[in-house]
Amino acid sequence: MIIKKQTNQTLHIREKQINLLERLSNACGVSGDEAEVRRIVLDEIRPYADEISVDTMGNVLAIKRGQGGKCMRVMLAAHMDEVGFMLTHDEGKGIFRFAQVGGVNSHFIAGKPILVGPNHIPGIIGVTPIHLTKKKAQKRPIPLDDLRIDLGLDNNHNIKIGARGAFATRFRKQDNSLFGKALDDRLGVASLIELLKYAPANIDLLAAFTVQEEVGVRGASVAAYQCQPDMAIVLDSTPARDIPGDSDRESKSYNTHLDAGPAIYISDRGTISDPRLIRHIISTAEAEGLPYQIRQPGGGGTDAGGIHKQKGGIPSVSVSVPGRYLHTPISIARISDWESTLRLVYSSLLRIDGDILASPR
Amino acid sequence: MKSLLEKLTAIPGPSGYENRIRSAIQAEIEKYTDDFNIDGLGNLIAHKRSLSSDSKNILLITHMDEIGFIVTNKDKSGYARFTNLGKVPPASCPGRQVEFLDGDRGLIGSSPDLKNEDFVQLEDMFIDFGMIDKQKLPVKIGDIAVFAPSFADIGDCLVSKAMDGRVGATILIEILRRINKSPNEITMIFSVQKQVGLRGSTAVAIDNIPDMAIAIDVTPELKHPNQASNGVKLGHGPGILLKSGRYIPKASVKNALEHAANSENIACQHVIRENDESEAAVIQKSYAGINAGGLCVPCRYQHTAAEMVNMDDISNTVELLYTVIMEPNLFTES
Repeated sequence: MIIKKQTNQTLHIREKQINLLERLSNACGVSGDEAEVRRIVLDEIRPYADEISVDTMGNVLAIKRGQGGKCMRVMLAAHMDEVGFMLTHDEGKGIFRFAQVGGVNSHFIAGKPILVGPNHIPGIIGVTPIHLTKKKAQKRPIPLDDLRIDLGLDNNHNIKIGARGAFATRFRKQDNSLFGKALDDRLGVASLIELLKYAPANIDLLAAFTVQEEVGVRGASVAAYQCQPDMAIVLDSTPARDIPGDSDRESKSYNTHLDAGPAIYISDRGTISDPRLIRHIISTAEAEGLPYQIRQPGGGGTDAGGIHKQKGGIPSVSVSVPGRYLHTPISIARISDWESTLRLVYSSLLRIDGDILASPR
Repeated sequence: MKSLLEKLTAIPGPSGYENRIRSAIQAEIEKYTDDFNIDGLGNLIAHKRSLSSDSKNILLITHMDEIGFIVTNKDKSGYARFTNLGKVPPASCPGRQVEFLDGDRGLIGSSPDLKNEDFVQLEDMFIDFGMIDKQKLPVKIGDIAVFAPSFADIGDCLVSKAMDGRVGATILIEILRRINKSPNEITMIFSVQKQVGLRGSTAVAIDNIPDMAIAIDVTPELKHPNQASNGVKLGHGPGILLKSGRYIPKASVKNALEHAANSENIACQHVIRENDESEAAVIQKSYAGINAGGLCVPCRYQHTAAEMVNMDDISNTVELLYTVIMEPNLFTES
């Protein structure tokens, strides 16, 4: 057991943290098949948690107890799964029909390389080359029914329908930016691992690395039932809309920006955040001089949607690292946004005391 | 009861921000309940104990939240852009005043030259604070508003924002006032976040599993010009729920309500709500299953700033509900 000295230290995103994110981003964990990500999580947190369990759905639940009497039970959740594909029908010669898992726009997946199954068998979502496509057809989006995953295998392979496919993108760092697949929500997973390592002594930290968020927040609901926390903070990644070609439009729906710091949720499709926790996090940011942005209310959802309705209601809030191009083969996030998010959550945890839920709602 | 309804409808209580309406309801019921508590999501749960040894547990639930609005952005022209909290028909919004939680007033505007008004969306509208200096916009992203209070007597009816929610709360408060000695244990839940998807009732955890649960709410009367009637009629008495969305009430609850209506000679009607879910739906599926039914007060123009109800319908709903819960043998006569 490693005991970290408790100080009001600041957490950093340095090479070590980025390397961890790289391993997490490159691992494949499409909803329902999160084993590879789960293994990394378990290896990382083993020295730091007081108790670790994996529940029947596959959620990793870890407890790091506070010191000195009864502490607030604070659940922190980050989802391990990512959007992707599932093979649904074997057409022979290594060609498969497939379905989307989670929110993937079928209009842009043609031609993208993917990795299939636990052994990362390379494949491609094949598309008719331009030579063989009529002008008219080039203007139409290609329907999912016309696409196949081509694994280029002989008939004696052992890939079975039901296997998952993930985007094949490899992670890299470029200046202040991070490129990778599944930054939603490996950023949250990496942050939660870091917070377990430096768990504040004033709370019981109940870490939930959840499954099946992308298909309807399924893991988080049972995780919250098991954890029975006093409150919950969800660490996720949310789409930024400062996208070239889109940035001049006045945004009236949900939105965040890169370089503006952690995005604090007030309301999305699944949750109305607890006003006490929103105030707590904002006042922490202001006291610590940390940047933050309010995520424009509207659609989208996080694990909080499943957590807050358990067991008489669990006050919940979400904090996200903004990322461009989420749910596509590659997304971009800023190291500075990630670091300020980690610091804000850490500082907010340090400032939790028994009175936080006694203040007016 | 009318003055209580007027008072409750005027208090803002949008989904997720029910603290003020909850405090007001709490103040009304405190001296009539044996104990009450507020759960993690903000549901107010009150108990009225029974001295009878063979009492049944009855759960009555109504939501206390109302539809509202949330600011999504401040635009360059000095207006607040917004979206809905709960279902709000966009066509009913332009020209309505809204009240923010801190008291600021605004007016919902939209461009009057829009050609096809059927397709106006909330994101085409804006909240105008009447500020000459656009820098003085008094709100920020995430601020929350409700329709401004607008209680009025019109003909045989009453009109206000937030009838949806506060009619139910008024009925339960009136029931509590009337109960002196109850043969049955009564649990009352004033729930939160119904308008955004039955979230409060989903979260509810109760100590003693009820033998019968009844959800009290308003139900739309659809018979406006150009619209097919759904059979619900204002002034024709409380509506006993036969179906809402995917939910079918337990026949024993429906029968108990019908029996009480017959025995007390209270006119009532039957209600089928196709596109809308009752809180009875989630209560029914709680724990190992609960006998749950619904009782509704007809309401015109639901989810607008001018929801219209009939006071006799409300009084008769109180009579009917009171008769049922004072019945010592709930299921024997059905």
